[in-house]
Amino acid sequence: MRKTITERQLSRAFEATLANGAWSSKYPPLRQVLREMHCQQGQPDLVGTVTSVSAIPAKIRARLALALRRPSGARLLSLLRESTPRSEEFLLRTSGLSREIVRRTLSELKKLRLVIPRGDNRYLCAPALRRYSHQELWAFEVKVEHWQRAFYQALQYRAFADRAAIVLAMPLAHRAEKHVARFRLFGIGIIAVDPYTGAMRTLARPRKQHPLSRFHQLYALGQFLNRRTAPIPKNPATSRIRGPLSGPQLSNEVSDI
Amino acid sequence: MYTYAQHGYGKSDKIETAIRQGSVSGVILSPRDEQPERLAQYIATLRQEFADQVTILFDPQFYATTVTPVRDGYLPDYPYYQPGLTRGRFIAPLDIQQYVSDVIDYQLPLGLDRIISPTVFFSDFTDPWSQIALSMAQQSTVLGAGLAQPLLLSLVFDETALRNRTALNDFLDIISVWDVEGFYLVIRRNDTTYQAFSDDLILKNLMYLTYVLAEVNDFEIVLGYSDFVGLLLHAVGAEATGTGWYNTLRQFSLARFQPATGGRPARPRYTSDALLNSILVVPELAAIYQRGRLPQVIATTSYDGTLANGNPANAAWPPDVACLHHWEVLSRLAAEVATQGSVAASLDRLQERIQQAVATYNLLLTAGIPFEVATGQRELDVWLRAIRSFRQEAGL
Repeated sequence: MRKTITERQLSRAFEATLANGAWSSKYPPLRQVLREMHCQQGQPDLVGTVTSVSAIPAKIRARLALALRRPSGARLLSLLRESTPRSEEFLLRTSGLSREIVRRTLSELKKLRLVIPRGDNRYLCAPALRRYSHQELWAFEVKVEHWQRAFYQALQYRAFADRAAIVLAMPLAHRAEKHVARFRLFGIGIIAVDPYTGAMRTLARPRKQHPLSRFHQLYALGQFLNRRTAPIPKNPATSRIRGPLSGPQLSNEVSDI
Repeated sequence: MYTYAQHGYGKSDKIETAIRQGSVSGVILSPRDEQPERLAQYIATLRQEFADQVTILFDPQFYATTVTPVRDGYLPDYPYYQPGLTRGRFIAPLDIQQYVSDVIDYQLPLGLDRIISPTVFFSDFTDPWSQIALSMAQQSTVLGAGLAQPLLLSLVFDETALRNRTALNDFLDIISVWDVEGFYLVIRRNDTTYQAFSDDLILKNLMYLTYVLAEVNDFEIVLGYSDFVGLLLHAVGAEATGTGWYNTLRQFSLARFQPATGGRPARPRYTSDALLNSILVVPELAAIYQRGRLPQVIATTSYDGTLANGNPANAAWPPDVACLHHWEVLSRLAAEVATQGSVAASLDRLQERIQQAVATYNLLLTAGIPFEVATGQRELDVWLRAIRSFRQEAGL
């Protein structure tokens, strides 16, 4: 059996689990899922939101999507505050961006009304940013067996995610279970999934923690806002999944669950 | 003992800042990354501000002439550069003489502190390209004899050449009798990850090569693209080592001169003197912070206060600042290692440092902090084996 399980199969079985009762009986349902998301800290197999980004008012969503489509926008917004103005020199010094990019990005952000100029080349960020920019994100790394690598990657995802977990094939998950204390130290979850039945078992619960990096958090939100939403299978997995799994092809797109 | 900035694309004002701050004392310029007029202007600017407080070298990068297909940047704008040279173009002595003379003549009016001879890349001390490199070096000694500036003979070769000790000895027998100021050595690394994996035999023989040339024969040895490995070479007599801001400027690979398909942006790193490594800010330094172990790895330079006082993942750590911090740490370590009074004492100090770093890594691993292979202690174990083996062989 070990040789026949692929990461793709496991990933699809886990997605099916997210859509059925096995997940929602233990965790809040994930409204949208993005596969293979670029996050400037590796590429998680799945990232899910607890609240759909569609819940952000359409006009603000559009402005945020434009502002966060490039890392420079996320970088500058992560450095700005609502009540303490930051100077252009400060942004230049701390962002690592060139003066030209800082100025161009600030100009774009001003047009989008996400940055408020305060004179003397000093800027505040708009209250809308704080209000709508924090969407609770869950990041998952799916591995059939290499739990050490998955653990390292999950730690990377803590830069932007509120919760991070590794998803392992159930028959091999006992290897990571022996090291569960290490996962708990950093709040990383271990979820074992049976790739054939879709059964799920939590070996360590992913702990809710504030994302480590404001920049990565905003950039990740930008990824959600700028990906097209794909039609999703209604109940892609029922009680039993047989391999090879059938269903929609995996692609880099957002799915509503 | 000096640390030189290995110049490349996107220099901004890092080099000047580091010279002012005292963490680098020289620069090895890369014509591939700068137009000739701008490079000449840059040399003049450095000279105007720092006079003789800075050592300015120009690596002519003639070895790129034999790389095909080549990504040579601004090199075609330099009059001595001829892309696409094959072995057949190095057979006639007059051709070699012309290449050497063009490269040396180009450097003469630039106001450099040393002239670096042209060379070709070779993979082995016995291959035909190594013979061409020797011919070019020999010709350079002839043309360099009457120069006002001292001459450094350039050699650029694959690290695997250092596996063959007999061939290395024969090569040393030839080059150690030449009447020049010294050598500019560039070793091509085969592992493109940073830090590149080395095996202890290669490192031991690189230490031996440096020791024989620098300590036994009193040549000035400058090793380009050395970074952390430079510490081992400072301990055995290297005059200067080069390190830059990108990973490709910290360890040499011909990939720098070959067409690239692009890549992802470099992840921010933090250079720790306690670990003798540059670890990733996320997740490694962030995990160290989370486990309350930050004081054990913080180097306390002029730049890292922002990381030392809170969550490093959220701290402002732009690439320029990370580079200046890296240079300060490296130059401090190099000074510590190289100023012990003798090679044996320098090696003692370095071994002590490495053992402390291994102990710190073990402490962090025990606290559950994970590292990638290249950011872990792999290289430290190799360095210790190489140093022990070198000392045994050299009787130090």
